[in-house]
Amino acid sequence: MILPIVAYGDPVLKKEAEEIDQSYPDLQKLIADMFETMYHAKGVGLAAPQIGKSIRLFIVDGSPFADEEDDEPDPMAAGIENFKKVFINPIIEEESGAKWAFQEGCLSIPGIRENVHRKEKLLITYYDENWVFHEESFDGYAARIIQHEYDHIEGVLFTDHLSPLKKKLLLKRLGNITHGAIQVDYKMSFPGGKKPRMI
Amino acid sequence: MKNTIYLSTFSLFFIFSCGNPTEQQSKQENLRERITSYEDSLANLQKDPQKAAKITSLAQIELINRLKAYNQAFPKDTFAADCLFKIHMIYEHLRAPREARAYGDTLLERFPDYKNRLLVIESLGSSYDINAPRDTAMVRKYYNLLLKEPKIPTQKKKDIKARLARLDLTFEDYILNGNSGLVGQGN
Repeated sequence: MILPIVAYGDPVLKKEAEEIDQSYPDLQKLIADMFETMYHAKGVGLAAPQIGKSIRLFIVDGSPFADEEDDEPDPMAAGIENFKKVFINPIIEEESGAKWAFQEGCLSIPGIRENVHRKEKLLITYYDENWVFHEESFDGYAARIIQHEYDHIEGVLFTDHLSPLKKKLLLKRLGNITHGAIQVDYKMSFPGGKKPRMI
Repeated sequence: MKNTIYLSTFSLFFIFSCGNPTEQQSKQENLRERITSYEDSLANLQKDPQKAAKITSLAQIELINRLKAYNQAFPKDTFAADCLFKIHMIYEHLRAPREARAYGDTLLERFPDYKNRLLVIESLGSSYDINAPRDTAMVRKYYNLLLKEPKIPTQKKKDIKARLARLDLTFEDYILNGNSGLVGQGN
């Protein structure tokens, strides 16, 4: 089932999410719905707060970042074609390396893309969809996707990383998103009250 | 004889401390070139998303150091104003608001007629409005300063007045609960 994605301005996006345990109801269905929602919106990651659930869960599939056959190999994309995972109760244990800029976007903030600086590498612990514990290191685009989604469960959006002036200059566009005065090609719910407008 | 020695020593000291005009010009051109060539290389990297990954925060700090070097060597030159402006912007981008504010204030004080004065004042106001912890007294100070600027566009004036009227709200709450005039106006 495709779920509506909550838009910028919804308080759930600014809240630190709660851990869950194995008794969480219909978890497998929720994960399947989140994948369906993410693929429909052509995203590479989706965090539970983005579908209105304040729990520490996010999914990723970085395969759209994989190199085309005729492209020069991109070191940042190494291994990204198989980077499809579910992260439950994750903890970023360590981030390292220099910060690098990458233009990020977000399904909750459609139409806005801005450069965000984040560290190159990370070490994360998490449970997968079968409640198997993992400790893994990531870098490149995989690390970037994780950092973006992890921010969501911490109540942080990529716009929070922008300079105040840049954010202020985006004020009206962010206002339009909050109030649904935008056109999107996936289902959204807007805290400002308007019904979603699909194109 | 004593006077001659004094004079010679003084002249020598003057030459050593100030350098001759040609040397000064050469130093100025060199420092400027170090900035523009570095900015050009960053701009080229930015064009390609793969290469943009090479623009690390360390690269931004290197640019700041080059801008500071020019500003320290030629503080009265108009290019120093551009350096201060860029330092302010990069520090804000790197989320270092204290440093950003210090350079923004220095720019306003030393170059009151700077071409991007409005943007600097707005940036300083936004810095206190959006960075935590908010300081509404400082937001008021800079936004009121902005309203006094003769060249402020009408729409900007209206926006700033609207923001000042609801400084009790955070930026996010202002968007969520703020005036409906926000909607549909584009950027």
